[in-house]
Amino acid sequence: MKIIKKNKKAQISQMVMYYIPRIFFTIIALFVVLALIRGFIVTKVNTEQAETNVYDFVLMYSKNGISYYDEEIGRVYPGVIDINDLEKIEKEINKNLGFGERFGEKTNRMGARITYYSDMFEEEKKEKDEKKEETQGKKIEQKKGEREIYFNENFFNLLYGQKDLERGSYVVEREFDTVFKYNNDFYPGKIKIEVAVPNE
Amino acid sequence: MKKRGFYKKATTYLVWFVILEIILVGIMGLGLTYYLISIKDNTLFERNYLSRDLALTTSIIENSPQDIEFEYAMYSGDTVLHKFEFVWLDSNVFVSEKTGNKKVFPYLSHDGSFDADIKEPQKIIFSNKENKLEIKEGIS
Repeated sequence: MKIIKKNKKAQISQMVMYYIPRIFFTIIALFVVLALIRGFIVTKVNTEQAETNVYDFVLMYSKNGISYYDEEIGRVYPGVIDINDLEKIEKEINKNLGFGERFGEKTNRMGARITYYSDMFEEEKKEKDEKKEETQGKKIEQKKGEREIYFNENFFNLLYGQKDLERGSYVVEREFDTVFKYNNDFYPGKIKIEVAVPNE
Repeated sequence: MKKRGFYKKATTYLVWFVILEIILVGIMGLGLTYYLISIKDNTLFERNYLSRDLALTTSIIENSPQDIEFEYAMYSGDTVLHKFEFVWLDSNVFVSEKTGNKKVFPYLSHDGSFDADIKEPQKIIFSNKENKLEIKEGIS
């Protein structure tokens, strides 16, 4: 066997060639360990689902929500929905409920759309012409037997448009069988509440 | 025949490379240990969790259809309330430690005028009686 003897420079060069990648890979291995540790540390809490549940039920059952509230005796009738003046209810929930302000600007955390379903609206509609309502430059035609009101309308529309995006928004829709109070009469009805919150 | 000085120089280089590698691993090891200790002491997750949980609890209590009283306490786990200071201001819940940033989360309020400041409580008592929200420290 032929033994190749290397001179001093060749030996040192060989060692350098061997150790430089070795140190380089050691550094990579250490960074991988660091990345793994960071990957297992949890600092975020995803509360979107819990939030939508809470806001949903606040809108539905609170005295500041859409349920019928008798001011004289200070009692809420959960599940009984006063539909005499939906525009007034929309104004009141937007006025009475909110997330306060931070740095001088209104905080937005949630938007909601409440859809009322009842044959009552069809009868009411016969009296008026079927008209298209204009919201934010986008024409929305309300179907027969349906009425919609919004909480934070602009914010809801913004979030609703992002619901299918990966880091967009979290939207939950829930339907309730309810009793509609119209004047002093009660009718069976149904409402759908869609609540949207931003994803963190 | 081998020349003695020939291999001696190469061996010195070899030793230096090994020393360099050991120093590198040592520095990284110390750094990682320090990092892990700092993570262990960090309460970011707890503050984040408590600000959200208390904000949602406040939303529920403030908007309850009838009078309600609720005791908020933790009897298990490491997240203990007495490590933190809690502030309710402008429809926001702020959770902070003696050192470290505040974590804040908004709650759904009906007038936003409520404020409270509770330092290192054992438990927190929420009550809503006759439309008046009250949050105070509870003693166990």
